[in-house]
Amino acid sequence: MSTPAGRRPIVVVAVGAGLLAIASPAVPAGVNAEYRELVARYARGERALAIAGVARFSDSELGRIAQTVEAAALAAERSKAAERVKDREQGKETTEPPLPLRAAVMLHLDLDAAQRPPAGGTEQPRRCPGKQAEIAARYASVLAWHEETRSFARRFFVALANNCQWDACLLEAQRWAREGLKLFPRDAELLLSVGSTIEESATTWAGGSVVENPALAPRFREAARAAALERAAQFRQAQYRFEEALASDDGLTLARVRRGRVLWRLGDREAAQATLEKAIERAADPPLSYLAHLFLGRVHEDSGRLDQAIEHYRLSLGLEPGAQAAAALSHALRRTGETEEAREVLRRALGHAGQRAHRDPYWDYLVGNALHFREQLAALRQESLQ
Amino acid sequence: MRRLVRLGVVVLALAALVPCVSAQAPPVFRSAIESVYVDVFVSRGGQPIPGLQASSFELKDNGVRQAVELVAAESMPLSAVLVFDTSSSVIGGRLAALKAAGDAFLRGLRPADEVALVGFSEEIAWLAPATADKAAVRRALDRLEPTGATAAFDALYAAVALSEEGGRSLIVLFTDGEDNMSFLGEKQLLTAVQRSNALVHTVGWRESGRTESVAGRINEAELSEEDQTRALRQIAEATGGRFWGADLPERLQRAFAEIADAMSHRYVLRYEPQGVKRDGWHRIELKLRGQKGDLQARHGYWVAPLLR
Repeated sequence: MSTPAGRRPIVVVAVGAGLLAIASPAVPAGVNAEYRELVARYARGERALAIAGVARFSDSELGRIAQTVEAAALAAERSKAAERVKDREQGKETTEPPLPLRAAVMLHLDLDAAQRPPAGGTEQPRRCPGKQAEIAARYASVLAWHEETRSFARRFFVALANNCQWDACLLEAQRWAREGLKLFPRDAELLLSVGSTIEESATTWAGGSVVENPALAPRFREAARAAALERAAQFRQAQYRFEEALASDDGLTLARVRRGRVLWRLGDREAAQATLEKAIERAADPPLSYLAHLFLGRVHEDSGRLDQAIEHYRLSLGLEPGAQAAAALSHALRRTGETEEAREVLRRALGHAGQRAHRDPYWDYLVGNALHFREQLAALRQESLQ
Repeated sequence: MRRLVRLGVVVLALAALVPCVSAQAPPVFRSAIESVYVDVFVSRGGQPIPGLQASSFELKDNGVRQAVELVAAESMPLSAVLVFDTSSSVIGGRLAALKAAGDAFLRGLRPADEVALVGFSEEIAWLAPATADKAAVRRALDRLEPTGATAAFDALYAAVALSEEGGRSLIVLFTDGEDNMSFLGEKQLLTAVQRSNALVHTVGWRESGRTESVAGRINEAELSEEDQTRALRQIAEATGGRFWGADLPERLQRAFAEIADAMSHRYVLRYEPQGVKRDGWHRIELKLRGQKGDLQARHGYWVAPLLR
């Protein structure tokens, strides 16, 4: 997994002030006029031209622009701070800076995407968002200061984290969701994003063995135990993030399903069962019901309640005739001695392969909330046009 | 999969005098007149040892020595299932290598042997039903198109569960990445294969210096081969098969050719268990008498309790 080089923490105050300075008539000396013009052209819909233009700037040049803006804007922000407090007290709305900051955000994010070659497929390597995404995030942080653009900024961090998760850049996904949380501390979507990237990381981590192998050399056994402990710690972290997300938005059923799943992974079957049962009660759409039944079936199966497991697997398979639910039901049936039905379930499922109208929600579970990042970015891009 | 009405090899009942039995796993121990079949590969220095007799083997069932006889393996057609990873990581040279390896396997089969092809990514599909028509399976191999993620465990479970209808079952799984989409876990799969009568070989592709992880994405931690292949090795060995690692197309092809070839060099031992309790797990201990050699055979078999 590649890591963008040259990262620095986002200095929200400095950046925010800097871009406000750009917005003001007194543009600080050193901010490239061509750059400002390119941002304006992006905002007018000349995307390709603007992206190609900014791509000609070196990283160091863009860094210098940002630094200059930050320094000048911080001073401007200080002088305006008192006035702004007064406006707020009087109930006056703050105005969005005249410079198209939303366009600047999306311009840099688009440039970042343009500089990364597309992956060859699901299991092919890809590059993670890098320096241009960093600049986009700095601009978005400024937008978070203004009531009118707060929503844009929040959705930007959600979309960027989702984009990273989709590209398997799990550390980057966590980082951007956490950066978003600094600005929007109890945002349920961002909390869900952090939790799900941690969950994905723990679930797909190669070092996390679940089968004890007595044939392993002692040093490997120790490593396996350490990996299992590390993985458990990750699941616990994910559980806490899902709980925080639910505290912010009790109707976020996906967070409830995920909480149930990680509780099961942690071996807390009673809590997992209660959580998943509540998720089933509240799940409004079939994909979430499907997942909740599937996971609840597994909790029952692991607890030795095969009849209840089979019941939930059947409900799950009834909602989505996928291979994983079929494997789950078949396996449980086989355990109860119903081998002929176990085979029949598999035959039917394998017969459906390739004929589905939509993807099995189980396939998308691990990246569930990252699925829609393209639509999220498209909406932000549209909003960035003037 | 088409029902195969012939003798099972690893573990199979000869008669079914008790009408109501649990249908768990292979139909073993249905009556007092029962036989267990053990499929064995004997080698020295990697080469099969021919010409062994029943007296060359010493077999214990749950610690009790048993009288074994040799069954002519060549008289039993194989029921083979190729379970191939068709996830997107197989794109390109690996796919060509896999097709060539599949072809090498087919060439090693006898005319009466049947073979099926299962492909898996996030979906599991019968790409060719069980047939003795090798050309039909070759055509299915040619049509392989990689896409999506990897549900290797679920696919192997499906092959095992569907091959339990009798016959001398051989399952060969190929995967080039870590399972990232299966619902069933390693433990569940291990139990399923232990309680089946299938001989399972697993073949893993590993490019030197690179391993895959995180939903099949590249893992720069470069975890040891032990981490990556442990489960596949354990699963194969539990059935008397083995794990084959390949990092070059020619090695992959050779592995598949050897798996097919070894089937005609295996010994099938038969015995009627004496002096052991019927139900539950039976541990098999097998040794050579009077000579040295490496034995590959399943470690035991499972007998489900009768339903009362």
